[in-house]
Amino acid sequence: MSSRREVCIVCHASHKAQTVPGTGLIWGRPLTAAIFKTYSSKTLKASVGQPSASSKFCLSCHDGTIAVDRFGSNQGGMAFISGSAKLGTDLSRVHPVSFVYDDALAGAVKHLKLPSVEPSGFGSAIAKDLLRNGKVECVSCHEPHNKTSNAAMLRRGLGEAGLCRICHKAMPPTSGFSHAGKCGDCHSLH
Amino acid sequence: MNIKSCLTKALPFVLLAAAPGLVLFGAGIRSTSHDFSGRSWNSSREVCVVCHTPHSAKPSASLLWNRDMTSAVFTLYQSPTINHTPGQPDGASKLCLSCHDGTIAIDRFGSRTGGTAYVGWTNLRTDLTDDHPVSFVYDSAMAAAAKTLKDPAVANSGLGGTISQDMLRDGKLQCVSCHNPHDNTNYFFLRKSNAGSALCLTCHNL
Ligand code: HEC
Ligand code: HEC
Ligand code: HEC
Ligand code: HEC
Repeated sequence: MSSRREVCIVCHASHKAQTVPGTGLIWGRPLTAAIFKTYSSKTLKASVGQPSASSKFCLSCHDGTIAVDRFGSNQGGMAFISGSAKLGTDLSRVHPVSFVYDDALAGAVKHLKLPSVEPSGFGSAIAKDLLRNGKVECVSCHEPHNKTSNAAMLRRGLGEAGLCRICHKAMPPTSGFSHAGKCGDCHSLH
Repeated sequence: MNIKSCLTKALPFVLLAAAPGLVLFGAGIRSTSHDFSGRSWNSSREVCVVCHTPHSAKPSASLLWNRDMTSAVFTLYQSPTINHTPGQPDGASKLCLSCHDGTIAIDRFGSRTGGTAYVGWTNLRTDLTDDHPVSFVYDSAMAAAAKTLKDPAVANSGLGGTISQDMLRDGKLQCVSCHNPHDNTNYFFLRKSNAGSALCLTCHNL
């Protein structure tokens, strides 16, 4: 697929990359033009729009619309993502992305930590380490280079005090339910 | 995959493997695309003179530079995750850009003015938002802040010394961190082969 046997080039070009204002990353691939069905729920306070460029970087392979082997001047188009890695264009059952997560939202939601001050566990505050232009994006939870060696390239594992609890406080018991244990026992992220 | 694009990309490597001694891809500047000795506008038939001169060099640059400097104002690389404050290209990067931004003719060197020969497919233009960032200090503090960068004062460049010693100029990352304009052995004038993205992974700890 990459006739030059390079790793980074499938996503990053050194020059003549996509110019995505405010996002950079010398992105060497076309961006998906799909219109996504976004997450919604009765309790959601954040306003979730169409995926921003940061998440579109991931979706441009993972929505299944653009071939993995189409990058740089390579107009290939044979290798598409498949299986559980293919999210499609319906994101209504995926953890919401591309919404502003600021202290005002945390104040409104109550069980969210203040992103400007609460530590991410990665050296600085949640906002600095995990948000992109102030928003939750795919890369808030995933580290696409597999630096962490966690399953699904997650920034942190899904144990009891795991990934979810970086931003979500421990949940109080609700209607007789203790709300203890791993979040993933009841909630699915994708 | 498109066979033609596959072939044109792979061909230089096939040739390189088949004929390691081939002049076109050997070490040194001769017969590379930076050897302008055969161009009709170069009556001296010299190689170095298009960029350097032993005397009467341009005062605006070191390295006995024999060329006018670009006066373009560049649009700079930006992203929410960078740790440096972007600044206009300086040092050796400005030397490269004085041909590769497409504003100054290649045949404008020494006392020549004007010129008609410009870079072609290698025109990076004055919009650098789509290029790897250059002309910023890359030091141990940046590596510590970024977490995904190697410490340039310690990490091996694979070229004999550390990243700082071999790839930075006055502590800064420049075009010449990745490129050696005199040697096309590694194709694209790269300082080292980028097979397996070895060049990128010299600095990026991923
Ligand atoms: C296309 C422009 C260009 C041409 C032609 C060129 N040079 Fe250079 N040269 C440069 C640049 C740019 C640098 C700065 C490189 C660096 O900092 O790594 C440089 C640096 C140098 C240096 C000092 C640093 C080093 O790499 O040793 C010497 C000596 C040198 N050149 C000699 C030559 C000679 C001799 C020739 C002719 C055989 C030549 N150059 C042809 C662009 C050129
Ligand atoms: C005197 C003008 C000039 C200067 C200075 C110059 N270049 Fe070039 N470079 C050219 C020309 C002309 C080509 C041939 C391609 C073209 O015409 O577009 C070229 C080709 C290249 C290529 C493609 C090589 C290939 O054949 O695959 C790279 C990479 C490159 N230059 C990098 C640099 C870098 C980095 C610097 C500074 C260290 C630099 N150049 C300085 C004029 C210049
Ligand atoms: C971080 C490393 C890096 C830096 C810094 C860098 N380049 Fe490159 N450059 C590359 C690589 C790798 C390639 C090969 C491109 C490819 O794989 O398609 C390349 C290719 C090129 C080409 C060939 C044309 C093209 O579009 O591929 C030119 C010209 C060039 N570089 C000039 C420059 C100039 C001028 C600068 C400084 C402004 C610079 N480079 C800075 C890594 C770098
Ligand atoms: C000489 C060291 C060096 C080499 C080689 C190098 N980089 Fe970089 N790269 C850096 C530094 C330093 C930064 C700036 C980091 C910052 O400001 O946080 C950077 C920035 C980047 C960025 C932007 C990161 C962001 O947060 O916006 C990308 C993407 C990138 N490099 C990709 C590459 C690729 C692809 C290659 C190989 C072609 C490469 N780099 C080679 C040192 C290097």
